[in-house]
Amino acid sequence: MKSSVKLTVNGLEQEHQAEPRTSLLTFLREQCGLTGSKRGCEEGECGGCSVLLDGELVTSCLIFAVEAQGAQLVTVEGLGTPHHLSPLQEAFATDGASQCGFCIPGMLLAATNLLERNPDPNEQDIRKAISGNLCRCTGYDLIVAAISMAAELKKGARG
Amino acid sequence: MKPFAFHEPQSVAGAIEALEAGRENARLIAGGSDLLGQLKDDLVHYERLVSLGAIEGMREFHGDQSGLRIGAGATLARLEHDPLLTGPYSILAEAARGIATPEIRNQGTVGGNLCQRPRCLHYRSSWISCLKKGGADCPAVESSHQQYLSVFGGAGCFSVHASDLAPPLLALHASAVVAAKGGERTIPLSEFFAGPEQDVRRENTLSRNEVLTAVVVPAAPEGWRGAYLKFRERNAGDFPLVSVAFGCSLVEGKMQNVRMVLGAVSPVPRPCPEAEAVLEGQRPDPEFLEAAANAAFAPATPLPHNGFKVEIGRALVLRAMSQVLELDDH
Repeated sequence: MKSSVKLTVNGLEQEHQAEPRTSLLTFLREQCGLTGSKRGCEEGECGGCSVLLDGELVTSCLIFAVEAQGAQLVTVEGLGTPHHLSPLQEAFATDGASQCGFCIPGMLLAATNLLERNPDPNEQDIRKAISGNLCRCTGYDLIVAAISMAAELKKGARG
Repeated sequence: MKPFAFHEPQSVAGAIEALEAGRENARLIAGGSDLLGQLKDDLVHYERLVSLGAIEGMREFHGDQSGLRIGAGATLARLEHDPLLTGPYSILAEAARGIATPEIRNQGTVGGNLCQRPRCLHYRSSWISCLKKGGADCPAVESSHQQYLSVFGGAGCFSVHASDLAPPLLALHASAVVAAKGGERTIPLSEFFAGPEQDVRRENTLSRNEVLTAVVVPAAPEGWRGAYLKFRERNAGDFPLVSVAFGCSLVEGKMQNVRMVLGAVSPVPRPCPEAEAVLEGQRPDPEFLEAAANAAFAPATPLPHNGFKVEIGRALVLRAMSQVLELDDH
């Protein structure tokens, strides 16, 4: 039986009907129309569906939408716009950190979460922070470099 | 995944009531990182899921001179960083940091980690019949995919318990706090787990309407230090192939309160009293350490394709002992 699920995604309230078995990922993609979060493994291994739920990085494929009732969510659509990229998006684009792009929404959210908690991460911190996000293209090095560069950019912006 | 009703009680009593009302077809859900996978793969079906997510009290986290009380709803991420988990208890933080991925550690709970189902590839496939799913026999014993199976026998089912928190909690002599309709009982964690000889379809002694609400860790012996080592294929995201929790205190150069528990090598986490006895009261000389590692795996009876776990296990035990005793690595 469907019930109403109300939550906030990227600052906007979303209210839709959902069955208990509807995952948060399906809710975001099919009810909210936000397809930035990717459906990869469906078992919490790949991190393509990673979003921030009340400030914590989680895999939205392993959460039922009803469990996120009332929560504050951030998806990749909430990080920047094509004309105003976030520092991380800017760095990923500049560094060529994205190839096929499928893992990038999850990577960006994991990295955003890292820089919020640790503005000056070393390489080990970065690799740990994205250890739940699989990339089949880049070999990770350019992604790690881009996150490091974004941290520098943000430091510069703070002056 | 078949449809189900979702209940979100505000109290443990409410959860027990909702379980009872759901009869045979109700199941608890905490972080859900194991259960959702099983539901999606159609390994299990329930008419009712009873969520523990709204029960604030289950996330408690206390510590004093008498030990620790960790709510079953505390997340694994909380364990990674909590300032209470220092000294003898740092073994728990170390184990938590090695579990799954940052995402899963934010979702997964202590109770869920202890109640997770096995990773046996045969159990995890809805196409394959097995004892754990009510089938007539175990297809894993004839298979070449035996990395997640027991090397210490299995009373029919050779799947292993994959919890990373169980070995260090057992090494710390922790207990499980279990709530039922009539009240609460506290049982040693060693009596919480139960292998296929008890009931092949389950891995613990919880009855249908009971809720694991907390684990209690007694005060550790003076100077006790432990280490948890986990061998896995990749450094992130993987379940253990073999793991070991080892700890002791050194009193006048002699090992005391020696504790050794193996993970992922037997249907339930495996304490090693024989290996502990080899070390208790001795100086940490290489001959005793070697003898203890051998004693830990002496009763092993590996399957045709997982003998490598015995060799890795012995090496891991030696490495854990060296780390705790601050010796040069072997």
